[in-house]
Amino acid sequence: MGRCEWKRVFDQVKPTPEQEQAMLDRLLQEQKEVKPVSRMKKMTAVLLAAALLLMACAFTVAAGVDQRLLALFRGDEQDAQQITEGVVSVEESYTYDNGWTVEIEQVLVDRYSLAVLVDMIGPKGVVLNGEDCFVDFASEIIPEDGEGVGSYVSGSTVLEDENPEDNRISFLWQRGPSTFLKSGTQSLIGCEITLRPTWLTQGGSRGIIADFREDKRTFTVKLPEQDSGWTYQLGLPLLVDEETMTLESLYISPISAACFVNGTPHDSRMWGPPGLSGVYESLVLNMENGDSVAMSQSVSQTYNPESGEGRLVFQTEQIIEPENVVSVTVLGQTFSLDGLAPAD
Amino acid sequence: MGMVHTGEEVAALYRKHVGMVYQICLMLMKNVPDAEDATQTVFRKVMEYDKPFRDPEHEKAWLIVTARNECKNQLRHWWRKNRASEETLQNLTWEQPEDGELWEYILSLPEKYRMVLYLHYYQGYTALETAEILGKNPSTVRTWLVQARWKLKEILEVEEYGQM
Repeated sequence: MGRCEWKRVFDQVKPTPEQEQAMLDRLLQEQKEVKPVSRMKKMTAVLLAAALLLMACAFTVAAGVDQRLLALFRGDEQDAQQITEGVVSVEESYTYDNGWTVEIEQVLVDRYSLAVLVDMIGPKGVVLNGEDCFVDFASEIIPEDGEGVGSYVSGSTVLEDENPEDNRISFLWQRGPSTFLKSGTQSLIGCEITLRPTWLTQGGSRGIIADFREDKRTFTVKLPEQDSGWTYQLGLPLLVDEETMTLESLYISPISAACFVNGTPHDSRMWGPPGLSGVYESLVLNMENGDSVAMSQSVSQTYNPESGEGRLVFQTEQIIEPENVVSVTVLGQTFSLDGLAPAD
Repeated sequence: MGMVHTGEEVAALYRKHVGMVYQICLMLMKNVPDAEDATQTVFRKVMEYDKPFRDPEHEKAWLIVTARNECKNQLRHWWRKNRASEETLQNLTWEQPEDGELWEYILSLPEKYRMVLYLHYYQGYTALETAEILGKNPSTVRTWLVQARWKLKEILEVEEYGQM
């Protein structure tokens, strides 16, 4: 393969003029829109913990909570009690014309995060070992309670496969809350979510294993009315890159923590570096018994450039009791919750 | 050269380099929607970059490195931005069918080989310049170029043999 072949091939993978213009338009428009950011770290450790627990516990259900969900938070039966009211057992399945079956097992939800436990079963003869696999859903929250441009982030994690030689694989599909340019972040409490499987891929969206888009079958799940999380109104200064932002409020649930901050319009600290990109690794919930609980992953990080509001949602590395959190450390600054009453 | 901040300045820089940035992103991300996302992010980072580029070559090298880093960063994450459209599988069109096959072979190479081959054979950088851009020893880059050519030759031969 010589230079001329290289040139010929690469000349054909330039963006088309329409594509070029569309990307530029989106780029210039971005400053006016809510921009979702997603970050994932420490997942290996979490999945390893999940795998170990799965091997020990198989797929038993404790307090109505699937063990695979509990395992992600390194939880035991006692912890399961903490998240019971956020769990919806769905247990619905559907077999597509292409021979694939999708089973929605359970949904775990709090105010700003949602996780769907789903099994994918291939036609006979298909071997699914889960390597580099992703499942994706189109999803809609009803009622949609927002104004202006809205967005959310979603993604999937393949769970430990007990039998890599079979045609079954389990995923946790997660999504953050919808955030809107004009009306903030929508709560998931009491809403209904419709899920429509779109595809199962391996190694990126070019490697489609199963395509479900032709069939419009949806799974509808009514989300719980109860919110197991607590919101604290703070309105305290938070030093970010040596300048002040305001830590407006904190939301702490058994499985997540969310920070709502206010900077200035078009505040570059929202993106860093380091700016708020350091929050994920620095955020720690300090418990009454002296323990510290860190975050295992970022669920959603959005920023409204016009108002300067930032909303950051993280999943905790273990299940906690919100009432036992005495203070929160963000970017090295500790905010006491002592004496503060939860807002709701 | 000054800092890039205004929409006009970004647009000018974008027009000049979008082809290259997109090619790198497509080569690394292996699909059009992710390549588009990564390309946009690279140019957004230019907008946020608050230091002046020394010269046009510095500007170009900065974009190459940023595109590569952005793609590697995205590939590390399982977490994907939700898309408004499901039509993420846009097919590339080829003048000759064998060009599509060549593209697939290129994509099957390890990332380090793809980058050095692209920079050397398509962008025309010498091994020394490629090494500087990628922050590697020139000898490493020369080795990668040799290995990449062999690897590609091997793939092409296996393919030809398979068709016999």
